[in-house]
Amino acid sequence: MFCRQVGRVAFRTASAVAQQRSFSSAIPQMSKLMVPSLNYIQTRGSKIEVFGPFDPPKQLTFKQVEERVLKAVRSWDRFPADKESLLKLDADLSKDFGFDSLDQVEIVMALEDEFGFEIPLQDSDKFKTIRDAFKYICEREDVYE
Amino acid sequence: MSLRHRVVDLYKNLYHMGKEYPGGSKWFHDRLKLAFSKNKEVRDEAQIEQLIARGEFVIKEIQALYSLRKYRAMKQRYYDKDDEVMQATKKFEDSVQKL
Repeated sequence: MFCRQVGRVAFRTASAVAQQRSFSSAIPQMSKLMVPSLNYIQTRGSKIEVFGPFDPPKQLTFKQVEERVLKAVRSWDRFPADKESLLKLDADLSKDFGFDSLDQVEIVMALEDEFGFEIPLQDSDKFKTIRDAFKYICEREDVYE
Repeated sequence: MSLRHRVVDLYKNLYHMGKEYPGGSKWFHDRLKLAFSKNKEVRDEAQIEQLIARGEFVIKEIQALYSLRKYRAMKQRYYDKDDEVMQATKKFEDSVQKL
């Protein structure tokens, strides 16, 4: 069969040879499939070379959740810049910052965007401090350490 | 769904749509907050229904504005620039001012 292929290649035109070359260059890409991706950058569908395996989602820790919660609140577009020093987990949303319910809805939206799940209104209404939101997210994401 | 729930839902929808507003999301979000807090004393249910309907109308307007903008952006790849998107944005802002 190998001989047959060689014979066929000999009869083919230059473009066919080029095709063969591109096929042989695909072999190193196959070996790439086995390497776990460390810094995988998303590309368009037609340009994807590595289809996996990907790193499994990591278990969040309390510290990471805290950082991300504070980061989300800080990067909210109407966050008052002069109150940044007050920003910690135990800060009261309405007393310390003077946020009303609409602001609170916006903060909850920022948290939803950050963690990628929706928080229903019944639950987000009960958030008095940032720690309440933090606790809710930890419960939802099964964070235990 | 309770009325309060619907109002918060409307606010969320409008806030989300404003993130890509051509004149900057800050302008839109500030105005949105102002518009909602202007009517925070309203207790009459029929009036709240009316206001929600108005908010849903604004959502439709923004959708129309965005689809026009997208269409224009695609068109501009092939033709010279025109300022119809600017005009539509201005028209939308004027109509919001009137509300």
